[in-house]
Amino acid sequence: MVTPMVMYSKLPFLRRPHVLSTPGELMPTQGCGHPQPMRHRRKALALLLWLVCWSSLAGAGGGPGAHLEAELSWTMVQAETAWHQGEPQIAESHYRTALQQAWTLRANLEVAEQRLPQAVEALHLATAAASDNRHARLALSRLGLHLAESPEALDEPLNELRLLIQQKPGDVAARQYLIEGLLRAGKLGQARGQLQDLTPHDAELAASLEARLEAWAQQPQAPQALAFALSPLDDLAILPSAANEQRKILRRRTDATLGRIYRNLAALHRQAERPERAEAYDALAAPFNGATTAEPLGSLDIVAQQGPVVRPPQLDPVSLFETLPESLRPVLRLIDRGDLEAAERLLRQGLETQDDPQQRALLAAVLSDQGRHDDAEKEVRSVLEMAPKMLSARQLSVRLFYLQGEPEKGARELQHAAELGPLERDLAFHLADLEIDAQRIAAANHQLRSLSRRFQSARASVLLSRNAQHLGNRKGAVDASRRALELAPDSEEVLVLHTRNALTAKLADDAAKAVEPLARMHPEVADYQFLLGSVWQALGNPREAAEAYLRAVQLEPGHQPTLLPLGLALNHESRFAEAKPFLDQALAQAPSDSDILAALAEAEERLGQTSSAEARARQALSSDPNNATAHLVLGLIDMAQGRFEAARQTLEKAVASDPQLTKAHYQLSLACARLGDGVAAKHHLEIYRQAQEGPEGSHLLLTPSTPNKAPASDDGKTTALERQRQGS
Amino acid sequence: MRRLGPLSLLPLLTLSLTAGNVEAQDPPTSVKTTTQPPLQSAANPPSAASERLFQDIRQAAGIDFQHPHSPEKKYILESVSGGVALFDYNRDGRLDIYLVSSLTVDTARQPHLARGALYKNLGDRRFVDVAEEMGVALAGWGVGVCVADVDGDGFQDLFVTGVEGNHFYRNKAGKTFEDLTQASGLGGGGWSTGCGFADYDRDGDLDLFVARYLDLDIDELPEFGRGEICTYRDIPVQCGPRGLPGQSDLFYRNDGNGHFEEVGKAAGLSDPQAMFGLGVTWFDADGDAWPDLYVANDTKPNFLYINQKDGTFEEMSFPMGVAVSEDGKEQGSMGIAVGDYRNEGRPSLFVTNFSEEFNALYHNQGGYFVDASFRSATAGPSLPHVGWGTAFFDYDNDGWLDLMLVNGHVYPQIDQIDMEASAPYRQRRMLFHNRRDGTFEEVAKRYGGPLTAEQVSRGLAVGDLDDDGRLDVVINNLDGQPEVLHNVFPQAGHWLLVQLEGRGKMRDGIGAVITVHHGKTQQTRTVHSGTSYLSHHDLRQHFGLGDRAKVDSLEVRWPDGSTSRRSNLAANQILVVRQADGPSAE
Repeated sequence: MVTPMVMYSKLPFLRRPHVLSTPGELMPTQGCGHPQPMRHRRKALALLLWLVCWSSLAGAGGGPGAHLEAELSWTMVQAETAWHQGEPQIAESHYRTALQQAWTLRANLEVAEQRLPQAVEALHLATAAASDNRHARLALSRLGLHLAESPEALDEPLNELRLLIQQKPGDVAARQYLIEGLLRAGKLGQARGQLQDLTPHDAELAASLEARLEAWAQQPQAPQALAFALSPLDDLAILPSAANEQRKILRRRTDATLGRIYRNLAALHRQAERPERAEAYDALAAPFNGATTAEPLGSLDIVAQQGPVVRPPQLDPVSLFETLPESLRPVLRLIDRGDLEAAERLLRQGLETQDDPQQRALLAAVLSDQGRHDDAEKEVRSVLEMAPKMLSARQLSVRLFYLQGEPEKGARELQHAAELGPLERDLAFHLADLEIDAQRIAAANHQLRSLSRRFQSARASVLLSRNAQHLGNRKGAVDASRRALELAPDSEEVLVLHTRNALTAKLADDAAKAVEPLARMHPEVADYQFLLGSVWQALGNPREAAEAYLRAVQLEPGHQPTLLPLGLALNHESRFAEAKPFLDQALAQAPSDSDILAALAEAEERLGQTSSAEARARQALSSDPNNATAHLVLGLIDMAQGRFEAARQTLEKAVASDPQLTKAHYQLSLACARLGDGVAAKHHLEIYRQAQEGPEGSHLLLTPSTPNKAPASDDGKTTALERQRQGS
Repeated sequence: MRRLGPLSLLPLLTLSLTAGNVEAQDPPTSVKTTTQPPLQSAANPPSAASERLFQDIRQAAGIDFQHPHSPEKKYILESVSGGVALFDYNRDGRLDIYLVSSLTVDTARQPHLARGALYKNLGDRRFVDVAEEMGVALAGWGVGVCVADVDGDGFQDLFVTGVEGNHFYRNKAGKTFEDLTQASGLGGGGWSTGCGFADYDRDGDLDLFVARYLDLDIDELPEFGRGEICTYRDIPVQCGPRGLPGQSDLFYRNDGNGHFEEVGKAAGLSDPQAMFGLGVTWFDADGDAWPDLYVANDTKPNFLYINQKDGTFEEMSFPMGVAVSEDGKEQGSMGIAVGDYRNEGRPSLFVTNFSEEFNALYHNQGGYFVDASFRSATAGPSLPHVGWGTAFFDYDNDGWLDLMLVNGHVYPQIDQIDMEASAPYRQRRMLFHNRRDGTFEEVAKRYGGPLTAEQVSRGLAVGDLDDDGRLDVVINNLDGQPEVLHNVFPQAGHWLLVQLEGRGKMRDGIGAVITVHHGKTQQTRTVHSGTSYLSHHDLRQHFGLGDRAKVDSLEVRWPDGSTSRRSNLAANQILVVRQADGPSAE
């Protein structure tokens, strides 16, 4: 029997969740019992307690991987709750986590059924699903060790394990599997070396592994590649001892969950007016449409609900009272049961004996929920006459104006309410929207900062960031988007926003942190590859920038923002023949752009197309007399043709236009040397040499070339991008 | 007495040319004029896809040498060797092959496992390994090689560089080699790489430069994959060279009595900054007829030491324009080729580099160089490859120097990642055909065969193994067996092979510059000991003549500055030119 876990009252004001049942037959009942109906505000705690209980039982029949099901259910609840609360970024971020958990769950089911290649496939999807993918990578490496049919095939998982250890030296599991893998590869010496490294982290495990190693090494055939027995994959198998039928049910529910996640992600993007992204998620959801008959895990079934633009949000009656009088508890029970008429009667009886503004406000809410807005408004007016500074009543008044189709009055009332104290979440957002529309950014920011502080709202931080951008406040923008990223680390919108902000603020470190997961989670999006390229460029790594830009134009040929940066990066990497067609495309779109002309001139000069290069360089200079690259190109042409005095003059203009253009300094030193001006030659050579000093940017620096190979950050440990930053 | 081998197919007219006088050195046993048709279109290579250029005859030639290697190359020590030398050790008129062997870290304490090979040319493209009986097999962990007749006895001596010291073998009349390492003072130490002999001070004997790479303790090598200098594109790889200590270079002055003294510091050649030296070549960079020295440094600026004619050198690579790329970027330089590829009388430099850095062609403008890498069209195709051994030579005898190089990555692990900008671990070769206008066309794919075979190559040496006037190539592959590329180009033009015989202890004519004129064309060659990557080419100088059946004139500028001239020489012969014993014709 599968029933919805949670559903909401249809009362617009009093909408609260009612837990109707556990997620279904896979949920344990012994010991923990069913979660009881609960108030919205207590739901999270109750679910958490239930999940803890479920996790503790998982080992009994579900196997060590069974906790994933509980985690996934909880993440889905978090996602849908966040969306319901008007936090789409946080919702998306939770959905991405859920996606990773669901694919990992799928992988564990495959492992339980000994379908390791399918498990590998699922884990690949898990690694790409969220920013924190360390566990999936570790599992993938282990499966790689198990599946290797030759010593060479062990290289990739072994290298991945080495990387995982490099990023987190205290990861004893990764160290254990690396040692086992080395033994499987017949590398006894390396395995012993790794054992020494493991000892400080876990002496007991090291001793145990050493015993296994020595026992194996004493066998006649050892060391022999692929002969060492790896630890079993029990901890990656869910429900290993259960009947097939149980696993089939869980598989169906996992698939249904995956379908729901993809569909909801599509809905989120559609709501945010990103139709292309929505379509992409729809396509990902399509294979799971057949699984809709199964009940997804942990779904609240609320996400499809779309409120009005100005939506009277849910109002917990409890919030009307600073301290809830004991006498009102019967009223709340009636409200919980949906018996609003009885609640009204009880409230009116109480008001006859003693007029209390809080009780009267509750009465107004009950009346409004019955659709009796005029009656409700009378009660609110009465309350406000008694207690004009009662914030909850003022907010109730705001909602009633909107419900009655009087938004202007509602807006004015909202301004009054805001003067009394911090507004409820939805009203504060609405007021911020109104202030932004009225170009009162400071007032809007006041509300947004309050929201961000009180509700941990990523949405508020996103809006704050945009406002700061609008005002040209780069630091404010990046601070706010950084805050949003903390709250919604896997939200596409937030990742893009923060990457752009950080790039604008020339904070390459921040940009790298955001763009790496963005490009890995969404490798199919040209814009994100473009952003990745921009970050590599900002980090001073045009080689990787070029690779990312190339992926962008492969994904979307002619991707306009990419063409010039790509051409520049390829020029920098001396890949002039490759650069030229992209620069030609860029020039076709902007025929008089001096930067494009200069870049094209540089490529053509190196390709021996001297006359065309010279013409383009001169054209670039006609519109931008200080274009350093164009001057450099003309200088190079002069140098190649032995016109050293002309070269010197031209190159001097190049370095005057861009003192950081080291190659111009280098060529200028050569020109001066040819002219016999040793002093000037040494001067420019010295500038060039100083620019060469610093970190050694050699071919040996660490740079991922493909997004699926780029490990993500974990626990603050280094990623490739981060290491690049550290080295730059 | 020059002796023709029983299987010599050569149309051999051997002459001796003394200064101003010509004399027949050996009566020819046969005289055969070339039957090769002149080139159809000398400016363009044949376009037929089926055209063959090289055949790998290693197996048929009886060469079974295997360069020791570790599959994973966990240590940089295992990625650098080895060189190859082509020289006629026994003066039988046939070019022999010496292949440097090496060890791995696992076998480092078993030096007997590194067995260098000396393949004696039996003629008819058959070889036999005589290294054991000649006493040159056990040179330890070998790296590079260069050859010169140091004592002037007419037999070429052998110098082998190594990871833990070098070996100098004196050739005893072609019967055996005597290890004179200690007696000569040439043992060196540290990780030596490229080497080359030259008479830097014109005192009439050959001096020796030895480049060195890293200062490593084999018992405390940096661990594979550990740390930033041991990771490449996010995969664990061998460590270095960046981040590891380099080692200064060695320069030995010959005292004329069989002993050498290390005078690098005094001469200004010691490299106090301890760059990562690899390839070495002596040549006259500034046209003053004194030998200058170029050293290829890995990941650092290269050196060009200009001979000050007073026993010292001045490092002038930056002002001369050959230190770094045109953009001022330091490159991971490995091998060097020297050649007058534009037939203008000046030797230019070609330097092979690491992947994504492009190989550099520095055109000699007379007194300075210009980076012509891209304008010559040699740079673009090289970007994905890691270049090593290289040579300018005229593979089709059209009278214009072509250019060849071999490639191969240093990290086997690179095959695990998808790198668009870099070729995989095993890489093909490159052959650039000279288009006579300062540019080249890459034609390896056109000829295919061993040129497109993917290998991990290091040393490359060029010489005419079968004396048929077409230059052959021997490649020492790091992983596996060498290749002997026999030139079978059917449309090769006429040719001339010039063997110098200098005076006294400068018998090989090392450092001499030979200029030939045919029609309106002028070609120059320099006699090098040690060049390419850790390798040594045939000391005889080859000239392709295209459809010209004769050379109008030939001039030799000997290392001591004297010259010899000759005119109206028939093509398709090996010409021995002897330096006059008397006063030089200046």
